[in-house]
Amino acid sequence: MTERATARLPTILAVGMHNSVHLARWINMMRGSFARFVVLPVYIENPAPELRPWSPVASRSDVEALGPGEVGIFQFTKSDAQRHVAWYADRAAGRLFPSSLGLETNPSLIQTDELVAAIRTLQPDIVHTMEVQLAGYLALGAKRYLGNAMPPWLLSNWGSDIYLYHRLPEHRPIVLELVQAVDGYLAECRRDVQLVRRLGLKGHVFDPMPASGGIDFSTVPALNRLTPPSRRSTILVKGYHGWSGRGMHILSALHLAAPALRGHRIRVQFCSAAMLEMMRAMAESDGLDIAPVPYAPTHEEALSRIADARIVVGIGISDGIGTTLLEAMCYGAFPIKATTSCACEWIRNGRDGIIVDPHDVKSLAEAIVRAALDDALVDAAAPRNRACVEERWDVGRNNAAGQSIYRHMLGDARRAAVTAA
Amino acid sequence: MYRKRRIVIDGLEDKQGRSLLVISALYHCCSQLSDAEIRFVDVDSGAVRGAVDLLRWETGLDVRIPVDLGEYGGSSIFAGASLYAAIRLNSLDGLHVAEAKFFKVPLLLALQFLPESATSEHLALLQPAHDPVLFAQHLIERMR
Repeated sequence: MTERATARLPTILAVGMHNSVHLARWINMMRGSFARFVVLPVYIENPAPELRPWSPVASRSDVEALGPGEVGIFQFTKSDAQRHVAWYADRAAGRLFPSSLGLETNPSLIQTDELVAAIRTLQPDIVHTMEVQLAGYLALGAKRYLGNAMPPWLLSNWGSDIYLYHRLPEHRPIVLELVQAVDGYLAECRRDVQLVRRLGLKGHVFDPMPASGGIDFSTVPALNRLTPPSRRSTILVKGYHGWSGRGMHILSALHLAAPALRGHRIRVQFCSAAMLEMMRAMAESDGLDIAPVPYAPTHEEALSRIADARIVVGIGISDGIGTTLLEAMCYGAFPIKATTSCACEWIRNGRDGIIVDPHDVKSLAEAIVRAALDDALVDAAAPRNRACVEERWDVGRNNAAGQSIYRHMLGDARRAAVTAA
Repeated sequence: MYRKRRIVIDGLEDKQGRSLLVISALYHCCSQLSDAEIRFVDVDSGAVRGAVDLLRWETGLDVRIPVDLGEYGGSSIFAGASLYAAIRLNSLDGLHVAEAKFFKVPLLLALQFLPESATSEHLALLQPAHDPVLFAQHLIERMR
């Protein structure tokens, strides 16, 4: 690419959790020749290793010096001490946004004036917030301050960001203000598109796409190179239990289903101390082969666990697609999800997976037993699920869709500039 | 004067407490609790606070976590209550059983695994301690 062509590239300021593999996957899908990407972290943390290569940027000239495919990460100038002072002042004045259920607001979160300063310094063509309660709220604070000087704002809705939070009294007014303030909206689920329209969205709505973008299927082994699901004996449990996850409900379902599951290996990811205590009681009373698995140090290891699993179970009171669902569909594991996700937009209930009410533990137990015993069911689901994700979660297809989204946003920006002139 | 029936629920969610399972049970009996005020006590997690907010939004139940027990006229929240309910892993330690009994409040205290000193009540509630639908049935029966 010539220097002149590089200089004309639009700049996209991606605001989000830079330590998240989902953000890194999206950036890796999109990085390349059509735009420069600068990531603005929402808190002080180390970036995800998957974001490499990246360069620190603090000025417009740093951005223009980024090489093709290279990503910038914005460097803040505020010291920790200054951030603490400002945070306590904002708290005393009641200017903080409400905390998300999973993370209390704290001084390590980036503050509105820092995003405002970054926008003024870098002059991005688009601000793209990935996730709502940290990145979206931060940008809403900036838009309140900048008004029409805010660049076009694209909001990516991860998982249950709006589906859950619009029903929480403390968050609802913020969510309503936010959906009416964004210029473009990209959801994971069709469910959320209908919802934000009801909530008063005025901006453009793009076709839903997984938050993680897509994967390169040339790197995923063909199904016939993997053990057929019916010959796998592992039940892999997503053990999150907290603001959304209901890992304890899954353990109760396994307890109710124990007599039918004694030949299976049950492995539980992301266990809290309370989950471990429950599992010890179950191992003692139920005779189940149930054990925690440590956090997978690499994504490849996490995927190999899914490829070994006959069933993957993840239940919560609110979710989007859930990347684990897509990964299970890739690797032939039979998915069991809750009705509070948008799994129904990817699998047909009872055929490609089972979708249950997260508050109905007995139905979950019955679903697990059915998937554990019905060889024909799990073997037939695998190729259908693989074909579905190859079509809809492919990095090439979704890269093109992503570029189209950004070009639409850039077109809006140019039209707005012409109108203003 | 008409007064709603009050249900007091253990709000602990930790190694022993299973209040999120009780919240799931309330989804299965919400139509029968429209004349009840449901109050969670001993809540110490954001997950339970969020789940209670969501339960109220989704079902319209009069359910909340009292901020100030002074609203009960300086008396105990158990005074005049119709039920005290909890699900725990394997121990009733830490529950307000004595206080509830003092005010003659009916109890629905289920354990998921039997302690050494198990009673017939514990045995009868073993399954409901894992199954919110069954727990909801017991809850409604005890309210009658």
